[in-house]
Amino acid sequence: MQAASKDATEIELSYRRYGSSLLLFATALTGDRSRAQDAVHQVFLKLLESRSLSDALDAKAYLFTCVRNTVLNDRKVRQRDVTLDPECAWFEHPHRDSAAELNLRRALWELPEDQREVTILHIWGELTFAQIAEVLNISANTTASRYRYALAKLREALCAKEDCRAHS
Amino acid sequence: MPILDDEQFERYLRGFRPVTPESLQIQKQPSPARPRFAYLAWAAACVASLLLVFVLWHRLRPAQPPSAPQLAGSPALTIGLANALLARAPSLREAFNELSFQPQPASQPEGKKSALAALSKENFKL
Repeated sequence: MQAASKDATEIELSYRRYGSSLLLFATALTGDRSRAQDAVHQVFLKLLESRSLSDALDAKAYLFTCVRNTVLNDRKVRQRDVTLDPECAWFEHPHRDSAAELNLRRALWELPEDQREVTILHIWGELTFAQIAEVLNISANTTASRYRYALAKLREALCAKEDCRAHS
Repeated sequence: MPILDDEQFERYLRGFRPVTPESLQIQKQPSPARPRFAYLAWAAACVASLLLVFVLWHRLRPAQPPSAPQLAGSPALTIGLANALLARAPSLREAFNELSFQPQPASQPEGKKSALAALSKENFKL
């Protein structure tokens, strides 16, 4: 009984700790915040039922894997292409700069999905390349390579948009 | 946006904080041990009630009187029956005879014989 309560506490703590990056990851895959929120909640509610988080060797990587699987399953069921919801913010605006947030969101969305996943998992999920490799079931080298490409593209896209803003 | 190296660019990106998710609506489930205990308590209470009802029923049930011995199969002699016999019989003598030889009930308990039956089997040598 105490173990079960401890598990529930650990799961709730994980939600508070990783909830925002898991939500961002799910949103980057679905393009829609409410579906992403549903996926994250689904994962945590299942975990609360099964109390299986403590069995995972790497709880953080396990959570991202669960969210990814849930989103991909949902996508299969809906048989629908994902589109970016322009109204739904992914980030809290730094310095109230909503334009910068929108630019970043669009730049991320324009990345190929495999590169977008790696970028979000590494920058905001704070996973190492080894952990990302485990989540995506690819090699660590591939992960690192995708990340480098993604970072270059992001920088290019954001600089171009900043330049446009500066000139307009 | 100034030209940044990879590290600076990563730091810039990390400056954007992901939106906080809605709180997890957890309905606190009662722990599994509690319902099990509740079921056991209910079962024990039911068994105890049944036992109490059974005991009370046995104690308070009115004692049934022992069954009265079966009296004669023939109806008792009443004035009505006597009148009917007198009317039916051809003579007063026959009516009295009929009344006298009404079969008597065998009121002896099982395994015991009447004195008359015992005497009838005796061979008296006079």
